[in-house]
Amino acid sequence: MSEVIVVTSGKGGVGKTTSSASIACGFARRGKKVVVVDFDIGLRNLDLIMGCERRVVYDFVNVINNDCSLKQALIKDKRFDNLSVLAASQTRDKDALTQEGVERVLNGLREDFDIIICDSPAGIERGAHLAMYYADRAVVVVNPEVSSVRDSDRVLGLLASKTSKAEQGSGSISEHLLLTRYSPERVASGDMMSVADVEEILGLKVIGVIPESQSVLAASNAGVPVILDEASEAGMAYDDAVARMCGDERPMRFTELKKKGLLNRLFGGG
Amino acid sequence: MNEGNTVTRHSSPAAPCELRQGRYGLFTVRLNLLDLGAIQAHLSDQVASAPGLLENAPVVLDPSALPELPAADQAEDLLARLRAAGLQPLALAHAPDADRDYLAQLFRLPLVAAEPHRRLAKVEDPEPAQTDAESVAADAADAMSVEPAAPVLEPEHSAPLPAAAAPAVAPIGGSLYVNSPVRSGQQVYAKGRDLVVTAAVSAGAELIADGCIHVYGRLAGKALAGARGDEKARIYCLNFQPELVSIAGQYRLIESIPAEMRGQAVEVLLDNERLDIRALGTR
Ligand SMILES: Nc1ncnc2c1ncn2[C@@H]1O[C@H](COP(=O)(O)OP(=O)(O)O)[C@@H](O)[C@H]1O
Ligand SMILES: [Mg+2]
Repeated sequence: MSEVIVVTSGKGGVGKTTSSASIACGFARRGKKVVVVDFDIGLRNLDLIMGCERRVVYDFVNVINNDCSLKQALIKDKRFDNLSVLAASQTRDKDALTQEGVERVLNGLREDFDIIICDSPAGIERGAHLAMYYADRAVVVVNPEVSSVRDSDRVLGLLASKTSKAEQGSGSISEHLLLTRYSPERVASGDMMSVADVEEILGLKVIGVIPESQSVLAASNAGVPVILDEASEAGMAYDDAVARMCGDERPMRFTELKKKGLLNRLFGGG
Repeated sequence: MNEGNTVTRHSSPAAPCELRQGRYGLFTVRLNLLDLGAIQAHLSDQVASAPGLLENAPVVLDPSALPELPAADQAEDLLARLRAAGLQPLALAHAPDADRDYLAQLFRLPLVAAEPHRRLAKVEDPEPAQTDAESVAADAADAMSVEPAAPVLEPEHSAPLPAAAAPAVAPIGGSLYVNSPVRSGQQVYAKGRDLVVTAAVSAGAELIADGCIHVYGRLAGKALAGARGDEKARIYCLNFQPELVSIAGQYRLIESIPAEMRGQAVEVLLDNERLDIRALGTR
């Protein structure tokens, strides 16, 4: 049975696209047939993070408008042949996504894929609403700071009331909290909220904690989702998160302050 | 500063506008003078003084006390300034007179019935037909337990209900139960009865009941009991960290809640028109 997973947050710049790309690759690496869809009309960048921007011919809006078939618009990933990308359109027309069109495209994708990841735009307007509306599961991306937590809380409220499942009373969608850009140093110095703070305020356990990491930017620039960088902590943390989404148990990593070695302490290196 | 404030905080007569809390806990900006700069400065100050409560708060704009009608460019400027001050103009309140439609067009905001300007105004029980809009709102709340983001506004035809009048509302059968979290931007209204919430109430969420409010999860949002003036209504809460509590219009903001009460199990009640917060189980 296919599953639609929305990656959402309310706030922009928290790591939704980064997470969508890595989660998609994580499921693909586990053998699932996966498609990742960019809902950020006008600001497409999922294709960049996935490294397929040069191969975008048709996009999501073209499919909705029947300018092309769904098959023509899907871009096959070069690394996993069970992974595809549906790019966002560059149009400025915010109304290009229609509810009927989104439903039709998602239903089409459900026939061919196990997992459909929807990379939501920021905000709680139309685009974000449509990205979450047909979801079975949601990954709410949150940064350890007050405004991001507040926005995520709002989005969790919308997920509980403003989705097809909620409106039809056909069960609730399952919610995962993904804490990204986490820095144990900044938590220790009191500039950042801790995992426990965020969990307490939102009343949810995190499915993963992705550390703030230089390798994310490097990965984006290279068009290789960071989960594929197996030497990076962010990559490993994303792999843990996907494993937990599949029901595996994995201990939480990279959330504690690293003990500094004696030399580091003597010479203040970090 | 431990005194409970009243809903209607009267600013000095010189104030270009007044910010007051009315029905459903919604704030109204009542304009006295069309001095746009002064209005923005005044509101910015108010928001800065209670950011947790006021930042991004939806407000109803009430221009009915203005000596002259604003021009189109002034209206636009005014809305921009309200937003710049951190408020979200949501609707326009005005008495049904000749100016009303002009103003509604000018501000391009939905109309709501003007609130009475006196607290504790004595009114008759509203006729059932006039509360249609309200029961619809309450029904929706019943059906899904929580109301989505936008607070419920009454359309213009419904009779204005006083913010804190006392038509003894008989509880109509049982309480309203909410068993899932009430999150930021959501509002639950238990019309004519008690509200029982077994989950957490986030900052930015709002509980309103004509009767008592019971919260068994963490209360970090607002709780307004006795919303139609029942001074015997109370709030019970096991983990008390609210942004605001109010009973029959008497309210306290987080700033005036004693620190030692935070996170405690408490009971909030009106004692001689004064809002009192007591540790539960101390009597
Ligand atoms: N774990 C991380 N460590 C460092 N930078 C990150 C991390 N996650 C995201 N970023 C950076 O944050 C910015 C916003 O990320 P993006 O995924 O585009 O967010 P969104 O889709 O929510 O707007 C990008 O520059 C990205 O490289
Ligand atoms: Mg994005």
